Amino acid sequence: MIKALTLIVLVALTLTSPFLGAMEIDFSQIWQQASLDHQIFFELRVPRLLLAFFSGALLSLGGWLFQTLFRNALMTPFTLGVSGGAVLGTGLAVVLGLNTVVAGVALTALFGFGGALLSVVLLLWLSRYIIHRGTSSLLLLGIALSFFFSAALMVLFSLASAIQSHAILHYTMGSLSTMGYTQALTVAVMSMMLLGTLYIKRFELALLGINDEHARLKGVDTKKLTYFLLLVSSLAIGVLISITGPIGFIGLIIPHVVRKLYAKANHHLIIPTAIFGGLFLSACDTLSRLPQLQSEIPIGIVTAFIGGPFFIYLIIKGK
Amino acid sequence: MITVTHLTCGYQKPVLHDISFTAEKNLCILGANGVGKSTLAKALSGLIPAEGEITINTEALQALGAASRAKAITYIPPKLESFDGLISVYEFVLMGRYPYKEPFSSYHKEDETLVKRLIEESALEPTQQINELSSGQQQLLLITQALAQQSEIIIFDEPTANLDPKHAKDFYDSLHTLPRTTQKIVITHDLNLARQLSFEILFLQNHEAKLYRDPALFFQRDNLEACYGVSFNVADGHIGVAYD
Repeated sequence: MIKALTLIVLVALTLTSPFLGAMEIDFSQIWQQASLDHQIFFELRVPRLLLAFFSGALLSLGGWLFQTLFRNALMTPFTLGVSGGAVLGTGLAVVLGLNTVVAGVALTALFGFGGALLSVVLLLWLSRYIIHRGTSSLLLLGIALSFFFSAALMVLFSLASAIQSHAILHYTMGSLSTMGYTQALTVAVMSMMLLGTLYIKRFELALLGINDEHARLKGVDTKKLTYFLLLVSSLAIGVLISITGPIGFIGLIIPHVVRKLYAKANHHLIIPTAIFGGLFLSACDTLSRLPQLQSEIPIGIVTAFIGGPFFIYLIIKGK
Repeated sequence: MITVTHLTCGYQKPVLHDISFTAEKNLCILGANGVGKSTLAKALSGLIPAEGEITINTEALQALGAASRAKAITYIPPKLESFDGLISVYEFVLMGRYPYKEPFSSYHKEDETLVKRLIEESALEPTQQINELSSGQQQLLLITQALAQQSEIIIFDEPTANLDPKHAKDFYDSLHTLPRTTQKIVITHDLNLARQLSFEILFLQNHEAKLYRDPALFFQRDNLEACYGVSFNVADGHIGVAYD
């Protein structure tokens, strides 16, 4: 019941998305190729919706994967500092003035991926010293890394020019606005790559969902699998974050919400997690642009404002 | 058959040092708390790194790939701990067939048929979620999964530690459902269970291992008292610690 209701609300808000925005559009005009209404609708609103949907899907899958890999409900690319690494990498590219595209790859995306990958490598290297202390130590390590990365970003700020500083500041708020089809398509490809990888590895992930020892006893090379999945997810998350900036919270709550709503084994929830995550971020994006608002609310604020109370409700209701 | 040569293993510090033995038949591993029984079991099943050689039948354990190792040997922990408790009994037992699955494909029809039959024989409910099972049912679930896995050697780590007498007896009976060709290694503190099993005995003490091919030698009262450093009453074939 609550599942159906949630889905209906999310789908309704998602479908409203392209019809809302700073500009009033005359919808009788949108099929007129030459009209401004056509341009705004198809060149801005539709790619924005696509970007929102695939970003939400990707972030939720990232959260699902980290929670499953490390078997801890609080593990996400954000809490483990991987997103922080990507933000720092992208910030570095901006400060170095590398806003160009080389061989079809945006350098900011490359730096975002590099930052994410470096933080994963750092995390794995450091975790060797605490491996016997359980996953909560790993979480503490990730949180420490996150703080360090954001401090390093602050140092970058003070080294940058005023214009660059402003660009970085805007970027660190996380945003889906002023994007075109290139960005939407890039994120779509990345999220489909992550979804495909998780789906192909669903049997191994199901075994890992019991525990690491169990998976190894059944013949899974868990070390190799973990490295592979972390590599693929760092690529996806790094590229996403280089485009949208950090959008927190969604990767943490969506997998939990889907688990509560479906009450099914974790490995059956890969596709629902992607769909719910996509719809949730699209819906939040719609809410951030309600016409009553004087200015657009940063997307990360909306996800936390809506998701927080809903999440608390689900936790208390329990299941 | 399992052959261990100059095995040293542990965590930060070695728990077992330079151990060698050969077990061709079923084996019962005994020893005081913390002496390294579970550590040995984990080294034998490849869960922790170890120095020295472990040979299963004729193959070196360290040289086996993950799937081949799972076909050769598996380990059943004293208690099932799962991050995801919503997995069904059927799915859990089916995971035992993972080492036989080809990459990128699903489980075969034959795997599914085998698993359904095994669950039927075990009297577990296939659709039940694993976090709803009692300790006794969990042990049964793990054994059923091991049956599906068809490893040549199965190590049971304190299988009756969490069980009441009735379920402990059920466990003892379920050992007989395993194929005769499967080599069973049981770690336990329950001397009466160990004697009833009448497997060869490996006794761990002071980082060393002593093998008793004839279990009767181990269960002689003087030997037990020397091994455990406590007095025993042995009456009507029952071994009990003398508390007074």
